[in-house]
Amino acid sequence: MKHLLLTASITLSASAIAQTNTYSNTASKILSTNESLSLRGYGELIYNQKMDASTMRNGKLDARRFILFTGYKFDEKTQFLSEIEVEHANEIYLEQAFIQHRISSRLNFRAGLMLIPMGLVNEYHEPTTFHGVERPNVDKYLIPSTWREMGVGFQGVMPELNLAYQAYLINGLKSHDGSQGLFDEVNGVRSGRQKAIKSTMSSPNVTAKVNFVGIPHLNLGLGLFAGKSQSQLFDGVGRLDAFAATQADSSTVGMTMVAMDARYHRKRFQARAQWVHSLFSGTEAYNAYTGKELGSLMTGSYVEMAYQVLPKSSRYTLYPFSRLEWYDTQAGEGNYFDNPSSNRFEWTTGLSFFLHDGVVLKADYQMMGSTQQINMGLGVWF
Amino acid sequence: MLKPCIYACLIAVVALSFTGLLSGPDSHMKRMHKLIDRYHNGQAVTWSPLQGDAWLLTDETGQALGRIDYREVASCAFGGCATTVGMSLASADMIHYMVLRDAEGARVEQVYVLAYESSYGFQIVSRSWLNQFNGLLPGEVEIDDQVDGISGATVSVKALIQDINQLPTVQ
Repeated sequence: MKHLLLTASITLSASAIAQTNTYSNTASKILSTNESLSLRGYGELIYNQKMDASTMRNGKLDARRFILFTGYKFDEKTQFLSEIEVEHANEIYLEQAFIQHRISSRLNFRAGLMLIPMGLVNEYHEPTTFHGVERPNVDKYLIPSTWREMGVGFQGVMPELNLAYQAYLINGLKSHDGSQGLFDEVNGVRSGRQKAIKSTMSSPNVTAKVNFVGIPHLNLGLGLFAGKSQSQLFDGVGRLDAFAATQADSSTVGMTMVAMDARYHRKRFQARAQWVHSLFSGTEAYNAYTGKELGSLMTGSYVEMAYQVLPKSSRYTLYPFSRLEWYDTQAGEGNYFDNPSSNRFEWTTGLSFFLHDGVVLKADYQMMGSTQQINMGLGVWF
Repeated sequence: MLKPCIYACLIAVVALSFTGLLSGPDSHMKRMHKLIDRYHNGQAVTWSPLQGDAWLLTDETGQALGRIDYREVASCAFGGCATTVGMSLASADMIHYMVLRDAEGARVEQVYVLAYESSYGFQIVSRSWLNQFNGLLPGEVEIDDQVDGISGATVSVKALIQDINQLPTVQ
C-alpha cells in the first residue's frame, strides 16, 4: 500500500495541486512540508443580563474562556494534545494533556489528563458545537463540564460496527477536601472537580462510552462512570485506626452515573436529547458526617430542537432553537431535608447565527424558575 | 474482588497491546478484498491495477464488474476543529476509505470507510450515511441536497464529499 501511495502521489500530484484543496488528500500530503505541530484554539465571550421586575440588575460581560490548543504528531502512530485555558480572563487551567498511541486502526492507547466521556457537551464543548450562549445546566450540575481527570485507557472507531468506544481507568471527583464536604444538593457534584490541580486519589474510578451511528440520521451515546469519590481524609490515617478510617469512609460516596444521549440531523433539522442518572450510595453517612443534604439520586434530562432557516444560496446559516431542561440534584432515598430549589425546570430559546462554520453569534432568552435572563455570546473555533 | 479483576484485565490488555499481538498487520488491502468478496457474494473477482491506487474488477469471463479507488483524505488534527483552513497536513488525522463504482467506473456503488484516525467526526463511518452516495456521480455530490450534514462531523462530512467529487473520471 505504501509504495502504491507513492506512485499515486506522483501521478496525482499535478491535479491535486492545480485544484485548491481545502480538504487535501494524501497526494498533496506527501508533498507538503513536515509540519507536525498544530496550533489551534477556541473561545467564547458572553454577556448575561438578568431581568428582575423588583430589583435592578447589572449586566455581566465575561471573557468566559479562551483556549489555546497545541497538538504534536510525533509519527503516524503517536500524538500529543494539550489545551491551555484562560477562564474569565484571569484563571489559568489545563483542560487536556494526553498522549495517544495507535496500536491498530481500531485501538488507540491514551494516557494523561483527559475529558470524561459523559454526555454531549463535556467532550464537545466548543461554542460552535452547541446552541445557546450558556451550556445546558444538565451538563453543568449533573455532568460537571468541563470535567477532566488524569487516567489511562483506550479509544477506537470500528467502522464496520458503526461505533466508537472509549474506556478509561481514571481519577474521580473529590467529595471532601479535608475540612468540608464538596457535594451538595443544589450544585450537585460540580465542586468536586479536581481539574488535575494537585488532585488527590483515594480510589480510582472507571468510565466508558459507546457511540453508535447505525440508525439513519441518529448518533446514540451511552456513557458510564462508576466508583467511589475521593477524599483527602484518608491521607495519613493509621492502618490500625478504625475510627479515623470509618470517618474518612463517611466522607466519600459511591457513584454510578449513566448518561444517554441522542443527536438527530436530517436536512435542515437538528435535535438532541440527553438523560443523566447518577446513583449514590453511602449518602446517609456522608450527610451525617458533613452536614450535607444529599439524596441517593441526581437525575435530569433535556431536549433541544433547531432548524436552519436561511436559503442554501446564503453564505450564512441561522438556527432558531429551543431547549427544555428538567433536573433534580436531590432525589431518591435518604436522611435529607428536602430543598425545593434542587428541582428545576428551565426553558431556553434563541438564535445561533453562523458567519462561518467556526464563528457563531448567539442570543437567547432563559427562564429558570423565577429568574429570567437574556444572554448574548460570541464563539469561535479554529 | 471486582477491583483487582479490573486492574488485572487492564494491565493484561495494555501489555498485550504493545506486543503487537492484538494489532496484527494493519492492512487495508486485506480488508478491501474481504469487502469486495462480500459485495460480490464470494464470486471470483480479478483485480487489475489502474493508475493510482485504483483497480478494475472483472469476473471470470473478463466482464468488467466495477472500479475501486483507495483514498485518504485529511480530517481535523488530533482534538478536532471547525475548519481545516491553514492546517498543516502532517498534523492531520486521515480518513482511509475506498469507493466502489459501477462497471463503467462512473456512478458510486458503495463507499467504505476502512479506518478513521480521529476521534472527532467519526459519525461519517455510519453505513446509512455512506449509503447516500450510492448511485451518485463524483463531481456532482452536494451537501444537503444528496448527502445530509452531521452535527459534530461538519469537517469530515465536507472533506469526504469534496474528495469523492475529485475522484478521477474514466476516459
